[in-house]
Amino acid sequence: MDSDYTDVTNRIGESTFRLVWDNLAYAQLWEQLRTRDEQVEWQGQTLQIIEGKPPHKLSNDDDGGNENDHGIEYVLPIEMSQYKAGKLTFKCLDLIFDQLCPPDARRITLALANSDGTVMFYFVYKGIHKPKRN
Amino acid sequence: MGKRKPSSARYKYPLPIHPIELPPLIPHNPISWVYWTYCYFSSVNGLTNKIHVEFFNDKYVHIVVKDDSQMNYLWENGFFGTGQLSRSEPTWKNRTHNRLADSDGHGNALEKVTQHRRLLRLEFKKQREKMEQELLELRRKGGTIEQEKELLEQQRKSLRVYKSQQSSAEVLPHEETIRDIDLLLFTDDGKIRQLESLELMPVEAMFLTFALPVLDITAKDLTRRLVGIPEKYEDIHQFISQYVVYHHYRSHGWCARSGVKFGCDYLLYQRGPPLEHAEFCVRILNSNDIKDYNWYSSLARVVAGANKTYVLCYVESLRSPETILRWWHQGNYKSIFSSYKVGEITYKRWIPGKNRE
Repeated sequence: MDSDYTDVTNRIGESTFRLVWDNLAYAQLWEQLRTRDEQVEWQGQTLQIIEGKPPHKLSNDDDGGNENDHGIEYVLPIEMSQYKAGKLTFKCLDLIFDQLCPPDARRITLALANSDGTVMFYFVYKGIHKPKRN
Repeated sequence: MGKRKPSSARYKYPLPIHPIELPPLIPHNPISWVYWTYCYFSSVNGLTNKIHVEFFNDKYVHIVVKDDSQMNYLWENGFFGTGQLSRSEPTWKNRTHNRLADSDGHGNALEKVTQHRRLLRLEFKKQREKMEQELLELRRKGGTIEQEKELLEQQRKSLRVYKSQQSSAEVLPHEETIRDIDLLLFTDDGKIRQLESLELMPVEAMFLTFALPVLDITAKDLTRRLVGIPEKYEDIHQFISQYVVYHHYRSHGWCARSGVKFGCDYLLYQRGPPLEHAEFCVRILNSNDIKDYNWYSSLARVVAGANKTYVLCYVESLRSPETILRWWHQGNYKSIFSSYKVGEITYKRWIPGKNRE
């Protein structure tokens, strides 16, 4: 299994990236976690994606349709305050899809770390997407 | 956590500082008087060991408590903070212990129950989808209305049966296996490392230093970590109004927690998250703020969808920005926070045809 973060001697907290990683690995129990090599500089921040496989489908309209559906999801850790300041622009998202994800990625999942101790997850789809059925 | 204490005993106190309980006084017994007087003068209710907090990330500060018993104490006495790897109460270590060590699944943590319910719901949806496919198939073949009705009736029945079977099914403890990355969680002597910290919102930390002597830092040190040394009033305005509102509700006995998941500032609980759902969503506004109608209605619809009441909380400053800033530099937080007025409005969508009480 790939896992770049072999050092868990330090408690989470040194970085947002680490917080999201541990959340996926040890709270949501994702598998095959890996930090993707590609990096992008955006307004003084380095953006990097964590990829991995959740224990079950994230959305119930994920079934079928996509033949290269390998169940891998792409997660972008980001500070909530960054988001508030409007750093995540359309251009930035384009950059993320183009340079950070493999070409067949349908969506990325934003992991917003907030100062109240929670990480919120939001989907961002490339282009128009059929609304999810509840 | 694992302890099976009734919640009334576990969450006896609404705040981390408890009232002093004096012994009963028996008026005709002089020893009782002596003892009572002794207790009256000698009792203290401050914490003997203040709670240690640490900070990380310089740009956007996160405030964390790392000691297990202190995390637990803050949670049990007023529901302060959130476990970074949990929904709210820091249960990660226990959950992980249950997952990896004893797989008999004792003590179903909230997360496990929620997960199970979601899985059931997902199964149900799959069933429903299958039935819709059947109906479509029938239509494609050109079935009559009668046939359609019959099919629908059948499906309704079988869905009902399916649902009742589901709800009577026990929560099955999942057969979890230990993954490779889980091995990193164990210490050399086979214990599970604590990865989780309790994170405090900036306003919670301020409340636990300025209003109650609970944390081991001073209010001045805390604000310095949060906003540095502010040059203009705008740098501190948001924090002050958030704190004033937080303090306002806490001092009226409400348990205020972050409302970020509902797009508002705070959620208000009568007692606390494990005991009931939040009743109110609070959104903070400056007293002179004017928003367009979409702003109010979009939030109102979200909040109403979660069955809560939407509260607009207006904060008005009674002093000039210069005065506030001067007090801030002097560390005179008491004067600052008492020079704001808070007023609230509840906002609710009204449908003439439906809401006719």
